[in-house]
Amino acid sequence: MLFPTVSYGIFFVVVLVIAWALAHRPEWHKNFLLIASYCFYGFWNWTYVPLLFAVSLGSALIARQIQNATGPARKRWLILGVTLNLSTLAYYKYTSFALLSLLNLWSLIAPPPMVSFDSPLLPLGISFFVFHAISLLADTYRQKLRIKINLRDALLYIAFFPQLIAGPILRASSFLPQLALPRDPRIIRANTACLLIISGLFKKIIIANILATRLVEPVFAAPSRFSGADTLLAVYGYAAQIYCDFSGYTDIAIGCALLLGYRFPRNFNAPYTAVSPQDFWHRWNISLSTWLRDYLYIPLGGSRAGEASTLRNLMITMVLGGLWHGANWTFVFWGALWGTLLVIHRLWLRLQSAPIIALRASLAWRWMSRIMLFQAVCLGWIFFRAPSFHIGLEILHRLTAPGPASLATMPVVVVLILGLFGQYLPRRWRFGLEIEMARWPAALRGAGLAGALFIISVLGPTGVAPFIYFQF
Amino acid sequence: MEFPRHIKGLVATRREVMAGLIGFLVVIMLLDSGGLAQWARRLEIGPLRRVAVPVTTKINQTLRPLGIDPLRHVLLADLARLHWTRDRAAQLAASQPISPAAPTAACAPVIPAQSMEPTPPTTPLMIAAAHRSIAPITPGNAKAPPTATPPLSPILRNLPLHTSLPPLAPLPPGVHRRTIALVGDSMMAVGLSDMVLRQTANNPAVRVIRAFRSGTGLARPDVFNWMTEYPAMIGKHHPNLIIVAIGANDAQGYVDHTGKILPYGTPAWIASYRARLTKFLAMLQASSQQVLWIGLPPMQQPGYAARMRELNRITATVVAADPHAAWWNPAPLIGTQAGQFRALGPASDDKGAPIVHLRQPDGIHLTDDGAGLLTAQIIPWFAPLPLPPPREPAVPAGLLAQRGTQGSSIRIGGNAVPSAQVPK
Repeated sequence: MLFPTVSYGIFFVVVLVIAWALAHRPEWHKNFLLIASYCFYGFWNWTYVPLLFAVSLGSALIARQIQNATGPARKRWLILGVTLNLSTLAYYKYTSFALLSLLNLWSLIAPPPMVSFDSPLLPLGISFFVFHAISLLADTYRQKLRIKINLRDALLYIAFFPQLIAGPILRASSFLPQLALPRDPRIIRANTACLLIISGLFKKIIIANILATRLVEPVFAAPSRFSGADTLLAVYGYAAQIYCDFSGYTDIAIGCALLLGYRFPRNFNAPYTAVSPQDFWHRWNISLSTWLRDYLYIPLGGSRAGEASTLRNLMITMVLGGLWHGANWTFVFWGALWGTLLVIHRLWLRLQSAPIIALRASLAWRWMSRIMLFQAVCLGWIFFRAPSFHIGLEILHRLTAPGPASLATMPVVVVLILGLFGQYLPRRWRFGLEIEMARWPAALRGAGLAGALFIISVLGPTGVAPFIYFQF
Repeated sequence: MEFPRHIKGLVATRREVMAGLIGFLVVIMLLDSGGLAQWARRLEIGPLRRVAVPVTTKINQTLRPLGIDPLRHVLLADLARLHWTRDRAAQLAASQPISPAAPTAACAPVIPAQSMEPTPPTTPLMIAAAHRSIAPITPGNAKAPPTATPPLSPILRNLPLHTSLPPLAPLPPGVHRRTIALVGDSMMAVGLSDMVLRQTANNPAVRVIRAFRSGTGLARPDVFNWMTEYPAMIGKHHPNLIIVAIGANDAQGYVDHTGKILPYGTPAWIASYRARLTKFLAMLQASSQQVLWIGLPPMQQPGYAARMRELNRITATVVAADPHAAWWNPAPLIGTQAGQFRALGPASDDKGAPIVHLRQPDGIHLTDDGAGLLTAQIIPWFAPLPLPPPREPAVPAGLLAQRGTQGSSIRIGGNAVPSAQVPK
């Protein structure tokens, strides 16, 4: 049940009506949302509903043990919970990757043994619900949860359908307290929610889908068929596509949650306007980067133990972050590339001579940094998107091939400009629109939403491709 | 996102949300009740569809007299004129005058203009198929007069595990480049098409046409009708060879042209699906000299794998009846030697070849490496490498070029098969 489908629309409308009808009975309300979330997950494949339930229940029970225990026992429970969760993730996502790497390493020395192994099917959203479960355990251990863990609330936190498949990754410490409070039917951020949903649908259905089908997929399928101009367009096109695809998904997720009365953290903040690698990760997939910072980088030592270990921790965090995206060496390379960029940037910041400080403060340098960083981001995206190093390198090689830009059709150029430069639009425009909408009668706002939805469905290509982050 | 909370109206009450919801539902039904009805008809056969179809159809019938419903049609036509959309429906709309009274796609009968349902054997496509079954066409692709439809052969009980690629039909006189259409659903779109496109990119003797669409199949023409979409995908090209990989979405029940529900796997479903396959194959044959139908590979999930084997048996039976089409089983290459599923395997037959993922994490689609095992067989078949320079005696350049595309022999399935065949 993809977000931009009629099926999801009907599902959500039914859930919205029933959830608000039950708002005065908080227990029923949450029970209903939990059932709806499991139905949402089961719509894809009921086979893995027990896995989701087991991960959630196991983590919730261990989190309660952490809450009740004292002394070293708390840490033991935490280690047990994190190990179980990471083992689950490793089994489903990385077993065959590890086996494959081992066999190929072996083959350098001797013929590898014949191994009959079928990797398990990858459950949808496992990377996300395992990270939610770890957040529950870690936040409990760090005593960030001021409330007693309720099993049903913990299950709902991990399985809540707007974020279940592809995030944003919520913190237990910020979401469980919301569940503990009764829903207030007088405060619903409906305008913000509707604008987020419309903006998400626009980004996904129009920008991401057109770029994917008419530019990115053909070039990445067979780069040697295209000129350098087409290849460059496809690389920039993928930068716009992945941003609009993923931020579109999270916009819809945040909007749906808001309509149900829950707040999710912001996940994107105009990432291609970033001026440094560090700035980029403060703007791109914010929920993942802060998760990695809080639950990986800081436990590794963060920046507390000297410069060398800080750089090492940065590298480890980014490489593991890359591996989290997929069991493929291209993702590891992508993570290592980002680690290297962050390390270089950190070393650059250590240079404190007066001319360099003046240079950094200048507007020209700011724009130059922005442009250079965008090229570096796109270099990373090439290997993120390419199915293999070979194709990634071929894309790079084709950038110099002469020839016209045969794929630069009017729709492609228009959506590419919107996808990349739409991030420079001032945020106050949206606030202005929200304030304007607030003056309209509620029914008219609903009608406007319907009209916008209709226009988006007409402008977008037929069919909806799955969201890129669903595969992670 | 934070905003000044004192601004009146930025937060709504539950009552306002419900009023907005009603406004939304009313307007969306007015604008697109046809689309809603179409969505309901495209649902998989089941309880949801049983409820949704009558409700949405009733809404559509009630609102249609208001005349707003064709708005989507009009907008799509305008967008097609501006070259914004490439969808077949929009192109059709742009090429046809629109009458407000004309039924939209949503309220039109379920049967599309070019139906996939069985038709009497006097239709042109059936005539072509029937003819070729007894009198193969020449490279000029001349059509012969109709003959009687041959009796249907029983569905194959056992699939042949080891199949050979058929002799390659020679190019028509005066044609020096082989045009190949890649047709199918995601079984073609994911992995296989990419590998074919990559491996033929620098071969001037081969032109490849992308005519595949994920999420489609032959079971649900109401979702995507290959009989009308395929000609649009091919455009003005005339492929000499069509490679087909389709069917992964077809193990589902559907409603036939009479409105009767055909549950998957029943004799009626098999007969109907077989007729659709026959008609689809006949349409492909009408535009090409030869069709290579790649069977569905072994799948990871046992239940799904069994259904795909059933579909393979039906497809292989239909294809076997056509002398200009061949059904090719990829199982021994992509699977184990016994044709069973395997996720990992060597990237090639070479000694020391790296072990790679042959299948995607879904256990259904091929990875590029997995597809590479198939293209290692298919590409040398239709685009053999030019022969090495001759030593004694020297061969004229013209003859060499001919041998490059027609005269070499390749080993397929353990047998030496001459790739150049005398026209039948």
